[in-house]
Amino acid sequence: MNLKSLCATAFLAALLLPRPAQAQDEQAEFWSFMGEEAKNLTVAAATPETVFNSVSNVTVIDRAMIESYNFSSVSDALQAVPGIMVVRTYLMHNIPTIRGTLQEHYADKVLVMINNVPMWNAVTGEGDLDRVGIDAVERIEVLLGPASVVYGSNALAGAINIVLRKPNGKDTSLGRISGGLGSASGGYGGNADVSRAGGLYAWHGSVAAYTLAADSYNRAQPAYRFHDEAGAANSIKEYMNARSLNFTGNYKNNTVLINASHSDQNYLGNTITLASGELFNEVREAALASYSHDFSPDWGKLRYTATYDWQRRNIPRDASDNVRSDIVGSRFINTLNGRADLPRDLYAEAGGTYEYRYARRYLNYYSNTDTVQWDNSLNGRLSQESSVHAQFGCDKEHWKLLAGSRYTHNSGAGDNLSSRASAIYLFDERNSVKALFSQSFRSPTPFEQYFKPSPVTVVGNPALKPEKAGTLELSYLASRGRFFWHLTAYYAEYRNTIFRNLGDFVRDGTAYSNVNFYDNAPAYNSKGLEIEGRYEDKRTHAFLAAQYLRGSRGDARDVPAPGVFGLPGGRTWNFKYVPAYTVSGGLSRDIGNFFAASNFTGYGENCTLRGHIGAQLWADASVGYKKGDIRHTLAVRNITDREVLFPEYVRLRVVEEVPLNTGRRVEYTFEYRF
Amino acid sequence: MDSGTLIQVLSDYMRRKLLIPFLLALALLPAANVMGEDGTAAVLTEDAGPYREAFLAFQEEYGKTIPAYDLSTYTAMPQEKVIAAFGGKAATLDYPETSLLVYCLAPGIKDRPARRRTVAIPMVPAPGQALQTIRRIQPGLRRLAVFHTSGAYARYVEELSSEGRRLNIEIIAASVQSDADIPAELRRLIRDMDAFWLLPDPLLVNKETFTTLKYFSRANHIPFYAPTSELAKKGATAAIFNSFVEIGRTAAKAAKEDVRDSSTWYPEKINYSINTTESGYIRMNIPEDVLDKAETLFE
Repeated sequence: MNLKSLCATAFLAALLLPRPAQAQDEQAEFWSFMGEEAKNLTVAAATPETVFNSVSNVTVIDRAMIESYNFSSVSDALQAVPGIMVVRTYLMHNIPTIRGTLQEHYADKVLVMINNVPMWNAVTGEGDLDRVGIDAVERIEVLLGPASVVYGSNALAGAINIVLRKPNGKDTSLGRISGGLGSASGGYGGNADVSRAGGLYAWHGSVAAYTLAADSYNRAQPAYRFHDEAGAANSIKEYMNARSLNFTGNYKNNTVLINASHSDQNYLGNTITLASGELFNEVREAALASYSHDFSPDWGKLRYTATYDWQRRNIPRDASDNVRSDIVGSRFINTLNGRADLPRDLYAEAGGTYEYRYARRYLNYYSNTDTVQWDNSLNGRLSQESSVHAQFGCDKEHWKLLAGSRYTHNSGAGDNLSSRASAIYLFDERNSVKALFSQSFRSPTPFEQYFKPSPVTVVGNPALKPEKAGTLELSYLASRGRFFWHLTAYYAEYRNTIFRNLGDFVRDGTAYSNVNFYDNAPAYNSKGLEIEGRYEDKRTHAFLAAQYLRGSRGDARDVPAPGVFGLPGGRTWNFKYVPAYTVSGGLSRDIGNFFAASNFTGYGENCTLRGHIGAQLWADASVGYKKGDIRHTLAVRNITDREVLFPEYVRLRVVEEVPLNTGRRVEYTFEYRF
Repeated sequence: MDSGTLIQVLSDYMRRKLLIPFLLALALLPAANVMGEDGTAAVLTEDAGPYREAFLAFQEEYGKTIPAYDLSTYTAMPQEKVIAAFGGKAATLDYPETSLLVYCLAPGIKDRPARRRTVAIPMVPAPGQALQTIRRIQPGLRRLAVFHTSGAYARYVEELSSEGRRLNIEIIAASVQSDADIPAELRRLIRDMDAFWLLPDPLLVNKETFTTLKYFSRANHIPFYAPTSELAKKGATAAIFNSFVEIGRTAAKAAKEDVRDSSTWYPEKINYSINTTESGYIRMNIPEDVLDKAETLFE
């Protein structure tokens, strides 16, 4: 026997020495064993978290809930989350609004992501919920509250992550087609069209998998009588037709995401007049490609992601549809994030992001001749933003602590430091209390900084500072049997919010008198309470979500009289247009092969610039039959046939409210899985 | 404390804290290309927990002392004719092509190492045995959801499906990509399954997943079968498993055989444990004779 063999044998003898306890009796050793084996796998497990120990306030709408309530779009599904309203301005549909932080013309205060990849317009800043059809969605994760330490710019009021569906079988394909007819009645007309159509194909092999989903959804609202700022009236039929294509694939440690979307929607005009293009079509197009590679170093995890996101909007600007605007931008983002597990239950997360934002054009052109009318001072503007962040955490059996910061440098808006700190106490696995402090910021968009149209509608302000938000939250989460509750009380502060001011303004040596221009608002704050309850058993699902909030008037300002119809001016502030109470709920039930579901959303009384809007309530209901691979669903949207109104809070001139829903609509959907 | 006790404590301390590291350090001496006298060597991913327990059983069954290497402190490359590997890291080393590789406790390995002669000892019981055991615990079982990631257990679930057809049990392949997908998959299957079984898949077996499954089982009165006795103790309805001792013994039997090709050896003895508190909570009636024969009853 040579020396080395002797050593090895001696080691064996050491192994054979008795130990105090058998390994299998030690649960900790079993977890340690599974953790060790997970390290050897190609794809490392994500850090497991539940809503009870997540270091943020997160609400999830999963696929089962989407199907139970027959939600027809991501916007529909989001209404089920307390603290979220999906509203509109006269320029934009489907604007997610978190905790009453209204979003000017553009939805740029809530970060929208697909599979954790941020997607938003490089020129005007808005994320677009219609870039993903509901049939391609596995779940929607909603993070309420500022989240810039994790996600960087734009997660000012919160973040929405749309997680795409994945294959759920080995070497199997999942095909799915669905389609339906919709019919709208009431108001001034009816409509029938293919309301939804989609297909999903998924494949899972031994080292690779991919999912391809195509989705189309059309929503034509019943017509309604629209009175414009000039006093003219016409029948308006609002619509939203969105198509999207999503591909996700992975091979070993590599992941690819591709999203392409196109939508057509009606436009209420650059001003709310029938002469500004409200009868014409707005086109939105976008394409996103993202590649990630996961590294598995001995010390933890590392992920590199490169993303290219291209967006285009094409909007009408006059009643003849002769003048249109073409808005094109793109972003290229490189991100490196890592996590290292440290001794004594500690861990560190750190990363860096470098982003190019390119405002290619915001061009007014004559559609009949394709000649340029005006470039709006937004041609070829490139900005860069770089950031680094670090967080340190500690996971104990009952305690979970996390603190960190992100430092950001923006080439056009300077530096920012956002921080967060979270403390969670777990009474047990299903009972926890959370105390959270978080900050966020949003760099001004090129549109807000440099826009200069002719004729002047609004002027960009190069001196804008980034918007900032900070929140203190206290949450209690509990689950018992089939019930789940989540209560959150919060206090939020907003500084330098970017809004459309009216007055005298000087830019680049040019003095503008009584003009709309972008400006930073004085600080204001809000406090609120969110309650969410869910019940679930084998055949029944129910939820109730409610929000109460009170906002300050720190940003109050006067709005001058419009100078027509003898209308007076008024006073305006953000929370004037946010109802103190919002509520949503739903109930779904399976009875044999039949199923039925209904859900509702309600907003409390609300103000317009000069008046009030009564409480708004709308509800959807659906019944259906499913057997094997076939599913038929008959749904009635807005069953009360009411016109659902929301304040017009941007232009603040003559028109006091705009409609969210205009009447009842019936949809039939057929689904076949193969 | 009397002097005898003190000496005993010091002795234990010396043995655990000094002797073992000393011997380990000796073993750490450059030992590449070593060869045991018997032509068999063992490689452990780590000298701890299940790896150690299985190896001790291996050694006992094998009947001879063989060199053993701990990969957590030492990079070994034994050249013996037979290699017994304990753990995924140990199983995936690049051993000589002519050696017979017997590996176990590697629940995450998707593809059998590309070698001519390999014996895999799974952590899961043989499909037929497993289903028969679950059927005995739950006689009314018709639809069983099996949670796993598609990698390592895809073929096993196919075999389960095949056996299930014979036993009139529909196997629902609840294949997910990560533990994050489990809640949605549970909700998707809530009306379609009579029970669910979590396989020993390293990507899925963690405290959070276990908690989710345990409370889902309680809330919906659906039995939860776990991959180890300890999880039954902690709140699963029952556990269906091969003990680490049986796995080690089976590996030793394979190592002693003149195996010419690649194969899978399931341990002959299947174990099950039952948590009677949990089964009572979900109003599950388990036959008395099944309770009597359980490896462990947790009350």
